[in-house]
Amino acid sequence: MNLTDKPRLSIYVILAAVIVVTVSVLMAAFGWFSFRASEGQLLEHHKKQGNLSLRMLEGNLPQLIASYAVNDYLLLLKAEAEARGYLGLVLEDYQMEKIFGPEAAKNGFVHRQGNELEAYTPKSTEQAGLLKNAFFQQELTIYTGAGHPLGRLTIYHSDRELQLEKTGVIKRVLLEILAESVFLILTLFLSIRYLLFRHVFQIIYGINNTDEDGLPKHQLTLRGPQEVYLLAQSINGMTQAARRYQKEVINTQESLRQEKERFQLAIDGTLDGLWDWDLVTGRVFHSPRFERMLGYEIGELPDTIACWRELLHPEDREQAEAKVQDYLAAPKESPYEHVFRMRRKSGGWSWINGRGKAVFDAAGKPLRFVGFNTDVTNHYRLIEEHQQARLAAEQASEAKSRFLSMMSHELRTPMNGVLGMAQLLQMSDLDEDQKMSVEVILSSGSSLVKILSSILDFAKLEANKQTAILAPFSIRQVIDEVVSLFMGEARYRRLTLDYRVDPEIADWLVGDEELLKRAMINLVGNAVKYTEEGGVQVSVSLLGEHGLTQGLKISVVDTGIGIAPQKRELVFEPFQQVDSSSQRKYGGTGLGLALTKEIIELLQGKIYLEDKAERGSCFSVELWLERPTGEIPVSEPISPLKARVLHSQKKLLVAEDDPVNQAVIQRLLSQMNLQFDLAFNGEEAVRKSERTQYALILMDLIMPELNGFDACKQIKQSELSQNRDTPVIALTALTSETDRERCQQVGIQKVLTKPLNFNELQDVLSGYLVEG
Amino acid sequence: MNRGWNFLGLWLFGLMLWGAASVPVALAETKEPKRLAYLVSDLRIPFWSIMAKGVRQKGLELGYQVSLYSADNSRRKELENLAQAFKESVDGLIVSPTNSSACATILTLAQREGIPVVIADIGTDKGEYLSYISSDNQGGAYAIGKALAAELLDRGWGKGEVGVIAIPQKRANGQARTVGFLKAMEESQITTVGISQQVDFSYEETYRFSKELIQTHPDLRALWLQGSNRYQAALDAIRDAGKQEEILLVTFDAEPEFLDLIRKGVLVGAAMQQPFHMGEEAVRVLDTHFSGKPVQRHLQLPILAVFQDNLDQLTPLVRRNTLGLVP
Repeated sequence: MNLTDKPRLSIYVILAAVIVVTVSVLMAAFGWFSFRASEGQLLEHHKKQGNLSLRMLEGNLPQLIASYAVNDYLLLLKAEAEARGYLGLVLEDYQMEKIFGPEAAKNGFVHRQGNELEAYTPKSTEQAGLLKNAFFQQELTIYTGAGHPLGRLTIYHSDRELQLEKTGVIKRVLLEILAESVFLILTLFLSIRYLLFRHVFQIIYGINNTDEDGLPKHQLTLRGPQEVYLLAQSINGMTQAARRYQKEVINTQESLRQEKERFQLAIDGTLDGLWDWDLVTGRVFHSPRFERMLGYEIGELPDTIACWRELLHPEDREQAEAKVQDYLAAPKESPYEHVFRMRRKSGGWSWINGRGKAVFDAAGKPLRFVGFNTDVTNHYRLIEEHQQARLAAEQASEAKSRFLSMMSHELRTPMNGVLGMAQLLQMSDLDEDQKMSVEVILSSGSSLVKILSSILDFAKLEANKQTAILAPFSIRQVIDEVVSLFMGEARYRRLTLDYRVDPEIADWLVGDEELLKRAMINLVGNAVKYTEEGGVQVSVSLLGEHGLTQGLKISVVDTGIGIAPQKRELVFEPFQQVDSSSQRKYGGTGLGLALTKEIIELLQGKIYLEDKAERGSCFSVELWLERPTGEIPVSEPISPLKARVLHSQKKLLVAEDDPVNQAVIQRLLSQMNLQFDLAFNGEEAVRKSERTQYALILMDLIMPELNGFDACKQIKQSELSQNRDTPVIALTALTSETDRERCQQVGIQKVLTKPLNFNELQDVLSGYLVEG
Repeated sequence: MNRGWNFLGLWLFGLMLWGAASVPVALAETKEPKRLAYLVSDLRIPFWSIMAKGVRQKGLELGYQVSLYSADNSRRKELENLAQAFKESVDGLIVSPTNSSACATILTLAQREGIPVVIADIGTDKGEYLSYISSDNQGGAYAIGKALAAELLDRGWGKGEVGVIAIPQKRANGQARTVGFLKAMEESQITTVGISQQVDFSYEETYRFSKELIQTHPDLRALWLQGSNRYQAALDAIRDAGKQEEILLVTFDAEPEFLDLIRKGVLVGAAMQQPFHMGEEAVRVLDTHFSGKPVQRHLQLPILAVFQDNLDQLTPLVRRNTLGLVP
């Protein structure tokens, strides 16, 4: 409350009131006891007076009563009543009672206040009431000399004196209260003024004698009674504290000013808009910068939160409000941040990054929410453009992948016919020249297939669709197979090709054998391809060992054409060759090393070109592989390519639309002495499977009318009612992982990739068709 | 036709109302006569009995039923009489009390009962009353004093002294008589001595007082008795002192034989009240009050100062109003 709300009472008035009240209470108590004492004295006085009257009347009345001198004794009573000031004096005359009855027997006088004595009238209720309230009464029975009762005399004593005494006491007490109060007040005032206020006024003067800051100029003099001394001391202390506080305030204000200036500069520099939402009042402050950010004039935006809601983009409104509500639901350490769109005055939309921090009370209720809005429209426009570009790139990449996949399929399909027929031819009886020709066909076909695989693998890796499948494998076996793969070509070109594996390297390590083999094929293939004379040396050395992990360094060193220093940075870029002349001379896609680098990085390794060879080149691969902890699978020996005759009575269905591939599979199955039906598309396959219970279905996936996926799906659905589940094996040129997953979804048990490896196909057929 | 019947109905209704209003009047006319009571101190005293006679005669004359109550000079009986009068439901009281103090009591009690009181002769110390009828005691005493002084001066006894035997001076009438008589004496420069107050009004008392005055005052030339009934005691004392020719006797009030005694010169004169007339006046005042007319609160009847000179002239009036000798 403000001290100026109502006038304050002076301490003089308060002290005077206290004194008056105290004296009044004391004097009232004193007056009451005094009055009680006077009352007792009056009572005694009245009793004595009454006794005197009774004795006198006791002597005079009997004769008068006996002589029926009513008027005479009334005169006597009247004289006594007047003389003594009785309230009433009544004589009950027994003799008169006998003559006139009781009413006439009572005679006397009543003294009504302010009036003369009046005759006692028994019927007067007024007199009766007056006498009833008498101070007290005395009675006396009047007897004759012989002892006969003549009457009864009653004296009613008036309390008039008591009232007068009471009035007197009250007057006296009031007078004493007045006198003593005045005395005490004057004494106290003078004492207080001399002892207290003299010093207090000095303090007040000292306090009011202030400098420009409103603080006392000088220290207060410490004098006077203890309380005043302590007061002055306290005020001095407060003044000193105030000066310190003032200095702190000035410093703080300066700091705040600098802070504010810095803050303002920062805001102006960042072009951020400040907002301040008072959740208690509901008012929102928008800085001019914020209003200009949306194209409004200063002060044009209403200072309500509803304004913010209305300006939100309809698509962002719900999420933005939820974000704010979620942030304000409970105190949080982290600041609020959310990006939303707001409508500009011109009608366009601005991307706003809102950041803020809320102040909560002790109960966790938000009080204030302050923050900045940053116009991030340009940033988001760039993101949108980037996203659009990325989408376009992804779509292009996807198109490329689809193209490569399709190209692979389309190439694999005829290659299946070529290599299939070549394998069938190889199974037949051929002379040496024919065998050599077939081997060349098969070798060239295999190279072509590898080129296709490289293109597809690169596409997969580029699309991040390739994943490493970890399993125990033998590095020695991988190196041996890779070297063996190129041994024929090396011999053919009179090159040396050998390898060496450090004996400290474990026989079995965990990794993706196929990927590693593919990488090594690329490296060794390149080395053989680009080496005219000399040879190729593959070595595997131990880099180090940490527990179960061994570090391998695989080096492929050749004595080939080498790589110019200025070209070394480009060797791992896709579609790059050392020079265009080498591409024309040696062929290739230019994807090999890029693909190899992608594979090695997928295997958590690294590949680099060492600059140590004087001639040729040296590619090194470093891999850290763990040793397996479980059992090692034992691979079965590969049987030579030869048609196996399966003595099975079971019949199988072959769904293949390509006539060449039909011919290949038809010949292979015939040589294996198997019974089969042919279907030229998916629909036919479905129809035939409904009519005939086959032991196995070989299904091409890309077929007209109904593709292999849908045909398999329908066959599986159809067989559900017949409680059958004919195994389906896909023979397809589709090699992507997506297609493999799709095969699993429709119930295809196994996928064999075209061009078909007859050994693999015969193994599969044996597994499904040979009984027992 | 209808108007005629209506008029007849109204006439009959009015007749009925008139008849109904007349009934109380008729009943009132048939009521018993009002009762009057005369409370008198002592009927054995001629003065009071004469007054009672006047009361009764006038009451009967005016149609009142009059009861007489004598207290025989007893206050108790006086009060008992008063109580009896209350029981008889008297309509008016005429009081000649034993004394003025007793009269105050009577007035107080009568006032409680609401009975109008006329005081006859003896006054009251206080109280409310309808009217007070008294004799002009002072005038009568003055007149008789003047007559005595004239006689003393005629006889050359102007230097002699006059003794006074008074009724109680507490009584108003006693005081008035003394004042009137002394005034006459002073005017005639005749000395009065030894005012003795009667207490029991006995012969012995009067004789004793008279004797003491004669003995203690050798120059005594006259005695004035303020009462009449013990005149013989005074005469006897004078006679016993042997001063029948030296001391005159005058009285206040009268006895039937006074007319002869004055005529014979035994008494010089007497101031005679008119008790019969006073009784009559008391009834008349009550009657006037009952008739609703105002009455005079204090009615003072003249005293008949009777001497030998006017004896014959006043005898008829004295016989009727003073002695109650009426046919």
